[in-house]
Amino acid sequence: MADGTAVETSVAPTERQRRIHLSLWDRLMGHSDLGLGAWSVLVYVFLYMPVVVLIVFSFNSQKLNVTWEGFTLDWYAMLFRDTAIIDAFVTSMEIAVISTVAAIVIGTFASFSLERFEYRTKMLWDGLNYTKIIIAEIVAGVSSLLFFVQLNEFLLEYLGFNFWSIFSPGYWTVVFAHIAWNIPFAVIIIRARLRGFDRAIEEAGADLGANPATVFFKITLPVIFPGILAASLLCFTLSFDDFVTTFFVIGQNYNTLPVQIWGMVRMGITPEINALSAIMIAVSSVIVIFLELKARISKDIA
Amino acid sequence: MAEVATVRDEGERHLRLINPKAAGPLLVSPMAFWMLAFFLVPLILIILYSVGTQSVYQNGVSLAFDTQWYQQIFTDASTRKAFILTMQMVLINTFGCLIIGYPLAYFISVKSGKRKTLFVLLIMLPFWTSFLVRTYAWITILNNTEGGLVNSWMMSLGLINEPVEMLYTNFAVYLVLIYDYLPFMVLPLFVGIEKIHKSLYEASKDLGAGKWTTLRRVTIPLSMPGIFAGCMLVAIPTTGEFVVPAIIGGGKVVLWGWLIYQAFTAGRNWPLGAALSNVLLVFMLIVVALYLRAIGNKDF
Repeated sequence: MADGTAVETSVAPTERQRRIHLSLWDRLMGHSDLGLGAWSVLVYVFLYMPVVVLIVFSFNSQKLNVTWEGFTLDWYAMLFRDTAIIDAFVTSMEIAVISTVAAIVIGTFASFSLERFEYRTKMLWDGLNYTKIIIAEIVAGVSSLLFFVQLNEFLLEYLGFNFWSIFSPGYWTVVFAHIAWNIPFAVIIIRARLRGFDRAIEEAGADLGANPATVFFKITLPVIFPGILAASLLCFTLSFDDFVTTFFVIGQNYNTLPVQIWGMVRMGITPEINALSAIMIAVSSVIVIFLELKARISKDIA
Repeated sequence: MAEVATVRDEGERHLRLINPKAAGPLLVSPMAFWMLAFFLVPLILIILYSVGTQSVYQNGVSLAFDTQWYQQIFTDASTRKAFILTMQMVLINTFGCLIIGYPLAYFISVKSGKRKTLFVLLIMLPFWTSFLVRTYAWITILNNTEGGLVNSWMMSLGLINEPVEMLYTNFAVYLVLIYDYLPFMVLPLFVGIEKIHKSLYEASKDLGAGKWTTLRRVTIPLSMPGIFAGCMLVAIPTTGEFVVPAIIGGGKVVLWGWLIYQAFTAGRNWPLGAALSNVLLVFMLIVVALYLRAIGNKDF
């Protein structure tokens, strides 16, 4: 519609104008659409080629993994028999579930607070969240390690009780660090949902006699639910895939999947890691496609 | 009218469980506690730790002020070398991602409907995939033996006779850094370009501007917020990167993040690691300050 009027009312540029404006670069870019498309295809190939290679080689029967020999599922079978990997997987799942639930609850409360109320310290909490997201993860990792070790020693020395060693680097320190890692992402996504929320429907509910709890569970929660779902899956993935922070705060007695992979990669390539990586990529892809269908995440970010 | 207002007030009062003045701080308090305890306090602690005097093998901290670790960092030649290499990596990675990513982001933004959703999704997918796995995927491709994918291709094409050393070189680290961080650049760029109203392109065309002029004078200036955001999201994490130098650099490409990793693991020198990490923190704060100034000045 706007196009039509624009074309009708605009004066076609005269030959003189054309000469002024169309520089050499403009002329070179006259056929840029084709170039742009080709460039984009190349970049997508660059982004996906390593992943495809990885998946293909996970079915390669050659142990050395560098030339194609034949199709096999041996590495997958080997993977499912490897107790160290299974244990690490279970630990990763547990930590991801606990830290996701905690971060979503804390993050939902905080999103309501930050989106619907005005108070003085708001800037500080927003600032902390954004800093946490952009900071290089290694800084958060090593400072958490120092903090937990110091806290554990401090409690032992001054209280004589260290809360069953939960602050000694291990399982719970990873959980605590992952919750802190997940909260800012949960807040950003849930807040975005709340921002587009028409509060008139809450008022209508209250006018019709619903009490605040009913309003929350029957109106507010269903409306922001896609946001909570998206945030949950993102938090779960972030926690499950996290390596840097986990590596520093996990101590000696536990392993998550990424920490286990790190140990294996440092030892050298094995087809088993290819198989494991292929599964991890497949699972993440399924999560993203599910999210896109259910919650239209790609629309939320734009 | 008055009646309507009362009903409305009544409704609003129903919605309030508690005094609204207290509700905001109350609801934010669990998050406030968590972020203070497990993020801000550790950051303050690591700063104190790095300037306290302590022996290397003992974790206890005393508050006697001592800058020995910083002196060591700033006088040591190998640390200086790592610093320069890290800055180089940050610049190349950031501009590499920007130059490779901008045309792609523009390409996606002019698409429409299902196709655009698909292209955005393909950029987002790597976000959801383990960084470690994506980095590891390059080992097979860049392998230094004749079985490495690139080496075997080049040998079969007759381009080379002997396998070329690719893994454990600076070049490999540059390449994989760009690969790992490209989505972090493309997504903010796309969001930035997407926000530009399409009628501005038409106006530019109607006024006689060619594609290059439109790009230079309309698209790029208006997508500056996206460019700044993308550069920040790539530059800051690159400074502390140690996964890529470890897996692809094989420990031969010594970056700042690798030094921190070493100090906290094999080196067993936590105070030095803390000081190294704080240098990084200061650098990041400078970048963020520059970013805030840049977007502040432009009044976005």
